Amino acid sequence: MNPIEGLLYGLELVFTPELLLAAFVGAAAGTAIGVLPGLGPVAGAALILPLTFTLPPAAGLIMIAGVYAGSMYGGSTTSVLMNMPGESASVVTAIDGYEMTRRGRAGPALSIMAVGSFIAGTVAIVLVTLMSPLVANIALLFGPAEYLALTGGGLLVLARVAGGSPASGYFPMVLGIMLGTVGVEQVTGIFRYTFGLQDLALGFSLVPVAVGLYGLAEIFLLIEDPDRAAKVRSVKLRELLPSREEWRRAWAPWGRGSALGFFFGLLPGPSATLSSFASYRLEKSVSKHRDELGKGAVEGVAGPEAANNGAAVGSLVPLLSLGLPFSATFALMLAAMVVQGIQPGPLLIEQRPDIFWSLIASMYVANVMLLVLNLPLVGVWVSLLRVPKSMLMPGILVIAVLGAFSTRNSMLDVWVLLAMGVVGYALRKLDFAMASLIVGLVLGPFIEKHFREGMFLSRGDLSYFLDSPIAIGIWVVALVVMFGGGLWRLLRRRLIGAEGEKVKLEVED
Amino acid sequence: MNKHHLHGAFAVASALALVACGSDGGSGGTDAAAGEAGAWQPNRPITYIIPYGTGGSTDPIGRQFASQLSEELGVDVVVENREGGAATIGTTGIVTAQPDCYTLGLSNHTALANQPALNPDLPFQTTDDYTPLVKLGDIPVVLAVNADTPWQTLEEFLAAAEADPNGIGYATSGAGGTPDTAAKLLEIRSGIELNRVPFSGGGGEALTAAVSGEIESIGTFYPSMQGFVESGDLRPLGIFYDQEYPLLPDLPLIGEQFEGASMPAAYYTIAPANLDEECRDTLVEVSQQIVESEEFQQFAEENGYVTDPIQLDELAAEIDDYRPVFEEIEGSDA
Repeated sequence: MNPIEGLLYGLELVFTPELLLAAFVGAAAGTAIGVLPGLGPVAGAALILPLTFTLPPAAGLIMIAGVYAGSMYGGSTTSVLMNMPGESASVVTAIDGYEMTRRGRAGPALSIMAVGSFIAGTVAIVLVTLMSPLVANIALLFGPAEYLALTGGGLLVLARVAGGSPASGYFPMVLGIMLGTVGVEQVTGIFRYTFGLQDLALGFSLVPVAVGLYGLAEIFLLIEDPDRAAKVRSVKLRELLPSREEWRRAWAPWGRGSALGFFFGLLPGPSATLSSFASYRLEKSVSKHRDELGKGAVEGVAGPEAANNGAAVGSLVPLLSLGLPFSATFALMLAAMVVQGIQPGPLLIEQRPDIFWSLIASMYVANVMLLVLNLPLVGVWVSLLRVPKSMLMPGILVIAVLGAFSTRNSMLDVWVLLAMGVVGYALRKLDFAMASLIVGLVLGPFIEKHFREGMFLSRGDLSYFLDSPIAIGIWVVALVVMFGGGLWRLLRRRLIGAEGEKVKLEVED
Repeated sequence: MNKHHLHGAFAVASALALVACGSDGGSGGTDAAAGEAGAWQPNRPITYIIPYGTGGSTDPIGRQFASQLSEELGVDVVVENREGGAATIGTTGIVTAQPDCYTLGLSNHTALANQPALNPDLPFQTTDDYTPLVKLGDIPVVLAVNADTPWQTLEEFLAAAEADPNGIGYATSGAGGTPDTAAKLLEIRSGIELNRVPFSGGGGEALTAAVSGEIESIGTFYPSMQGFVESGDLRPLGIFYDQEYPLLPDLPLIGEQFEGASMPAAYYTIAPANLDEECRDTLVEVSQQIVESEEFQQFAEENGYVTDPIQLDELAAEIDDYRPVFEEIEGSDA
């Protein structure tokens, strides 16, 4: 079965009233789950998983896909409206999304996200269909050395994702890496920096940290300066939809974000998060409006939101070629399959094409459902901002605390949330970039893990990490992105300077 | 010593935290249909704790047992996943629950036989600290090599490993996990030395490394490697087990060739100690029926488990037999 036939076959399988209903229920539940900080895509899918054990395989699958897409979108909704990222992939959306909200453009930001997710889903599915034979085994080319280059290089490049001075990026990044070392060490299972607290064994979970740094700190800032609050003039349709200018500016980031996300999706690891950050970084380098990024630019919302959805679909490729789920959500989807007696593996597509193609088709249908569900909801979300601040702020605080607690049913996470709120407030006052703290917290453990695996594999030989052309290539790209701009300026100054000398000399002659 | 104190503190903290959390799962209709066996008749939902995450590789066997338990007893059985701490967090939750037969759960040989030696303050030091209700099954670890390696048989692999100590890489899903422990046991018994590389983040990465040839060999449970064996990417050479394994009947048994080098993952259903005799007898009877049922047998076969429904004293003896083995393995690290 060629890919196009396969996709059509899958769509045929999922286009039944029951399955469309399952997709709708999943997307609706997912959006609700995502809007609550604390429950992200993986937690949402895990919550719904036991329910799907009683459903037929395809219905369970499509419902999980719906929950996943819905909670991704829901998580970004709170990023935009309240500067409160519901999960790590929407942290970067908060930067420009919330600035747009403050300028009264919350509706357009949400619409651009919804359409962008849908477009990225479509682009990535086309890429899966056309390119999977070419890129199928890319994951097999990546071992610990290559992953170390990707995550380590990524860390260096992304530390300054939000711009600013080097110190304002690297200091929070180091803080994030340090937070990431707390808990059970991944390779050998030794407890680190837990100080006798069993709850710390699982480490700092991202949700209380992100919600504290962004959401809580924002509330503190609002108390200090009530004029910061988002302005909502009206929720008329014209105000909710992006202007022609905003549409026009969204197209290129959508495209770039989709492709970037797809590529990251081919590799295991935190691909959705990594790709959203990378997309923001990319927009900062290539966008025509790069100077506006950080101040409420459409590009800062369109790119990352497309990227994280592209990554979700891109991870279908390793699933196709290896039968290995590279994202937690696909792992859960496969868990749903295993319960039905289907074992994942490289022959999955040959042995069970129905399962494989309905997986792809269900991702697609879930994206469509999300668009159908969420475009009309934009107005509702924006209306939330019209709730008087004296009620909205305590409400957000309660939800944030509940969300932090519910991640692991641990009071510790609530204290982490409050502490991070204070830290976030201080960092903001001092002009530090908080996105790099999140980058450090997300990537730090991966860097350590790949480094340790490589050391085991090479029996302690450090040269192993530079023994691979792919790893070297990634490091070179990272260094070029990091220092390229500076070097270029230096070089140009030298050249111009030299010419200046020459002119002077000629004059003297 | 210091380390032991720390571990103890974690254990106590975890026990307190879990007790504080309580063990109410959801609720459900309790239309107490007449149970088929025994005199004890539950009248409210039973909680079944699984010390692993939802959707993990170990979750399904617990859920299978829980759903059949619900059918047999005619009440809801609510599955609660409490992962972490090498299954000790969930196991602590089971052991410290009220001994009223309304909280049971899944545990395994490492949590019950190895962890107490490492954490002297865990509330389950001996088999008297809980009721070993029934053994659900073993799942043996299979040794496989990348298909491009020259070794066609276990003998060739072992000879190569002997000739090149620490030279052949062996991928596992994590240090201290069953595949890692199984290989350690082989090393002790045979004198070879492998370069055991613990990958983390799910078994997928170890598999990817073995399939791509980044590492020469891998130890894992057969269902997760089956696809790669069928596609010709991996070649299974032996089983760390001492009984016939129906999924791979022709493969040499490492546990037979080297005395005692058998280390499967073994899963049990346990309950708190000091159960009321009437309800304990009912649970013992019902759980044996479940494991022997056609439905459970079919599940076990599809998922690579070898069932052996031993109970109570016999099961306690098996757990006790694992203790010296783990001690020997831990001792070899020092």
